[in-house]
Amino acid sequence: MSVVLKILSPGILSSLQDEGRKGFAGFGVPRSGAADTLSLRLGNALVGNAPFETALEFRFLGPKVIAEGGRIRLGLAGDVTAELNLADGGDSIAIKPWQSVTLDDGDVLSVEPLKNGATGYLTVEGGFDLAPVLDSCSTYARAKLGGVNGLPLQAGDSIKVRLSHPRDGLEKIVSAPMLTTAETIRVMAGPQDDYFSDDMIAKFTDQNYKVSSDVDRMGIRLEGDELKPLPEKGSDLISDGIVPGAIQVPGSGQPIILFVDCQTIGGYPKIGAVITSDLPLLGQLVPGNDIKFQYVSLDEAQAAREEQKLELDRAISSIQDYFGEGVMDLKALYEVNLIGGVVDASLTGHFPGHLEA
Amino acid sequence: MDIRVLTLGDSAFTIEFPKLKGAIGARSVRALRGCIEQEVDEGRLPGVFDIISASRSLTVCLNPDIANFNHVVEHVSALAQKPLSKEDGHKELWVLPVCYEGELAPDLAEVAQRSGLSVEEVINVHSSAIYDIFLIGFLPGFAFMGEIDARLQFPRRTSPRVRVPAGSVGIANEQTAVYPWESPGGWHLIARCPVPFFDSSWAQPSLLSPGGAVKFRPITTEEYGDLAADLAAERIAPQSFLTMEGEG
Repeated sequence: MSVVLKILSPGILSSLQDEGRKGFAGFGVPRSGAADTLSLRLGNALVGNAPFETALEFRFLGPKVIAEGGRIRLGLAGDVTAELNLADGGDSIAIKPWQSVTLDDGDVLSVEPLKNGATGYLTVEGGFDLAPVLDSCSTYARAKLGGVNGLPLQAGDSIKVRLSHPRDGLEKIVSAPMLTTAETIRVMAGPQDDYFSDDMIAKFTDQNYKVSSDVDRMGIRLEGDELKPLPEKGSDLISDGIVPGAIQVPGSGQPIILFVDCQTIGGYPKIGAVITSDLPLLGQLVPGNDIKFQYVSLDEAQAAREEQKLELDRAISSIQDYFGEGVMDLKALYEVNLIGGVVDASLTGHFPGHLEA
Repeated sequence: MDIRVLTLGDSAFTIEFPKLKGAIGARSVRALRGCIEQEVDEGRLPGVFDIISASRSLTVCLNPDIANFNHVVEHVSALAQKPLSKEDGHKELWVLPVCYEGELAPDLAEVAQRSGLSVEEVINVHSSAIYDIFLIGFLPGFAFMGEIDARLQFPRRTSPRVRVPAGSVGIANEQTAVYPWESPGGWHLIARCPVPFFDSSWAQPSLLSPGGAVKFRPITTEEYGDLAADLAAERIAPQSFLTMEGEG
């Protein structure tokens, strides 16, 4: 029997996401992929996966899941807390952000509503067993691509995992996770900053924008002082290519940051585009947040990427064994010390130090 | 050829042919796309992972950890400034069944009224022309085609619809298109087409390709229903509406 992670309740717009779908924009296919790739990468490192292994992404409200047919080790990525209820009853166990947790057959993990930030992930050790669609497992619901039948996750969905049994060892925790929230978002000028006067450009960077309630994977609408294009330019242009992070200013004068599921071309002037290193921050914007924009150069964007790489490496190297509190201790001891050497020795490739021949 | 390079963050830029539009713009974009794809295929543009076609511009997407932004801009600009190769004369022609009746054509009467033509004349004008496929973009499989008769050219609706049904045939400005998916949309909807335009399991996931051509064949509501059922049951393959590959 295969081991599956079953969705008991999906939370809000939960979906499976990886690095996204690249190379198909010529057929009109949006990129999709994780809204916060930093949390995805760190969450995958937590369970020993490749950086962009497909994970369960949720927005604002997390899912409730159950392991069926065997054991599954999950990683909580983002500012995410959860409650673990064991199949054999007893008190529920509080799970901290950025820790791994192993679900036995029948154990239920209930992710709590996010208190800070918009996006969280459940990564799974060894990954989900999925067939990529157009080279990616990312869900793009409008064209029913990727994920489970191309749709956001629904109650009752069962997602197969690749490992029949988690690897040995204690749970892990990221002891120094990186922050993916920021009040300042760095952008590069173009492609249509020349549609705006110097005064309007100054207004764009001087003011605080409020994140509106209209926030999803397609775009993030902002509220602030209206930006007007130069009268001779107007708000309509011959459509050109757009990418996640492009900031378009429609006739209303209220900017929209296009995001991971955005269409491939658009016809509004774009006053700038968010630099690569700040794209993951967009995935954590919550309605009501205040943000500011700051223009930077190509060189500064490169320096920011290099700095971020170091920060991610530091966060990954802060992953350590987690001995847990209360029941977690018992569970860890039980598995490692009592059963580990006896039962697991019979499983090929599982017992530490086991040789194939 | 005149070009402009527009920065789109640190991982994309747009090459624009500012003086071109319509079929000529689309042809130049297509030719440049071919040149860039060849460079990518032959390993001369490492880190370039996607190319977005628009009507008079191309957007090149790159991984800044692999590609040097300025080098890619220089390389692609040089390609764009060369005289672009002529296409061969072969052209796909698709004859697509569309129904201009009743609720499948919600804006037809209004378009007729604004153009001063009768409904029959609008249908006749829209379905008698052969349209060039300029580009696929916006949504998976969405083909921008044109140019439509000047009498049918109107700006997009002032308030876009929140839900345009899949298969809706729209017109706006000088272009026409079929919405492959239900989506928001601002074009005037004058017909409905039962043919699916995108399937990730096809060798080429988009039915139509830039450079091909499309003609619309009017069908009745009854034929629409029959065809939709036959296509859904896979008794008819969407590829069967490709009628010829002839001289363009």
